[in-house]
Amino acid sequence: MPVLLVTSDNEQFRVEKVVAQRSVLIKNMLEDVGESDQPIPLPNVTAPVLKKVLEYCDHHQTDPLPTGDEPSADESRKRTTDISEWDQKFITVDQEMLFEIILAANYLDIKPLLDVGCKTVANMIKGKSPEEIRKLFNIVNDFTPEEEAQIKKENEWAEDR
Amino acid sequence: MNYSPKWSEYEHFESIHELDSAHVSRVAAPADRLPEEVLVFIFKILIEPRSTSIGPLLLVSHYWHYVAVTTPSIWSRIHSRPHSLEEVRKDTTYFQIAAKNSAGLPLDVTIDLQNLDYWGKKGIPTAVSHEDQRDDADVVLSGLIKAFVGDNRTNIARLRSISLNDAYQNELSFMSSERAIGRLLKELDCPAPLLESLSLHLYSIEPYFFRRRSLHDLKALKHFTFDAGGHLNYIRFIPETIQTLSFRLLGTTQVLSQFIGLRTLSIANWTSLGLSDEADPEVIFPLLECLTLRLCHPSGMRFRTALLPHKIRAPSLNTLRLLDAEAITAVGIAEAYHHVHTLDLLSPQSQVIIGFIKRHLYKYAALVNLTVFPGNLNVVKDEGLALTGLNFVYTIISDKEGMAVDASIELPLWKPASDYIYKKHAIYSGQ
Repeated sequence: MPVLLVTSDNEQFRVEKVVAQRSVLIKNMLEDVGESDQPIPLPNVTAPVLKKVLEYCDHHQTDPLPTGDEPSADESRKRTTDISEWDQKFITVDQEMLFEIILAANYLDIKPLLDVGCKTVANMIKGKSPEEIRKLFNIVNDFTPEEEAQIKKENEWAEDR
Repeated sequence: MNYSPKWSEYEHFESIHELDSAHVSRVAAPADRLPEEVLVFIFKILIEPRSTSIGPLLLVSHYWHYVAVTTPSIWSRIHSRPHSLEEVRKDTTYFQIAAKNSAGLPLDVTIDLQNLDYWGKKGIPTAVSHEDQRDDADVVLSGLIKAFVGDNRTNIARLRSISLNDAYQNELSFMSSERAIGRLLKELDCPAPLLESLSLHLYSIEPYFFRRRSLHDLKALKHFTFDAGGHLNYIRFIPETIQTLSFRLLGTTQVLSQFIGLRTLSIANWTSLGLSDEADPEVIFPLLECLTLRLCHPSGMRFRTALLPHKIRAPSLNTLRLLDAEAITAVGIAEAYHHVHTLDLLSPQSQVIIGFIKRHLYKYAALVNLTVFPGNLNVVKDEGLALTGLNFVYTIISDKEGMAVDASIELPLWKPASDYIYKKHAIYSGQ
């Protein structure tokens, strides 16, 4: 049975239940409400982002759902598999969209998608200096010169590591 | 570091909260809009291989600094892998800060001294005598140990795991750090109620344990890696509680039969004596789930223990990791462990792997995961895998620090399978 999702910009998406239920948030809502034609509002997600998220959910609809239990040795092996080629291609988007996907995955509670997004951001940060990180993500240096000097002094251990 | 948010910082946050979300989304960079829990998740990915990687993140912005220093779990895994005494001094400060910022959380400590250049060979030549340099190194290393042990051993009660690597990469390192390591183990010679995991990679155990040290007080110990020369029974502890054991086999398996609760066992067979007369005829581990074997000494010395796999009975085994050609051959001949569902054949010798696959793999009816080195993937696919029911094969591509892994690298025995990154390859039966 299809499910109707409504985005913050009021666009409607009709998707298969098995796809929508990759989101733990939606899965729980559907379980609470039971069989219903009522549209599910997603006030924190815009249409372009939801479209992208649903593309991910559709591709991974047959993957086993994370249980939240401690992984066994084999599960942890699967989990530590590098980002798959499909996921890598999927997440090759502009920075604004990358962060929107992460926020949506966090809000919708789609752990594997959050993993892919956060690993991608971590890979972008790896090996960079604070200045390079700020430049990369357009983050304003909001330390006063005095604060910056003090924090640098406190963290001399972190230099050249 | 005793962090307390400054007024300017409170004002910063309050001013952000006062803005409506639409305004925030217009003015704040996307990375600055990430909720705290997501930023923490990203930080944890970055510090997974090396905890000091948190350093540069502290200096990005108020928000990032605040999130980092107020999240104790970011500081509870402490690593030190120094290359020079100057880095040891830096790590000493880092250990003190981490012990404080981790609040009351249990601590997981790794000290890896195998790349430490004690004598400053790579630095500026000095007129200081070797004896003085050695004393200096001893003082600096003792400072590092004291930093995580805490004054009056206050942090001992919080220690959950310790990994200590003082192996012999540097031919002189063991001479210099021996006293410091001895001091550390002496510090542990007291109740450590949370200490679950102890991992020792030492040149030899004799200076620390023989007739002197006991680990009897480590009553919570479950995971014990013992990569050192010497006999395992030099160490006196409670084997019944140990679930994970990794060690080099030296002459006898007799001590093994005491570890009745083992779930994970890794053995490197480094003896030329083989199973001695005093060895158990057969060892049964009813709970054992993962067995890792390496049967060839790094020097290439031949062993006389082809019967070893016969000696270990493990009805609950599900994962078998064979780290050299000798282990692959011996297990094949032994006709043991056909009930496992995960099998690692990690030898550069393709012919040995192909031979195993052709002659033995069909007997492994429950097999789901097979892992080989990347260089062996094609030969495995071409030569033998079509005969099996497997749909996928894994290759190891790197460790978690990003170091590429291929057949030229001898995988450490004590590193669990979960410490590597894998790639999954589809196999199409009959093609």
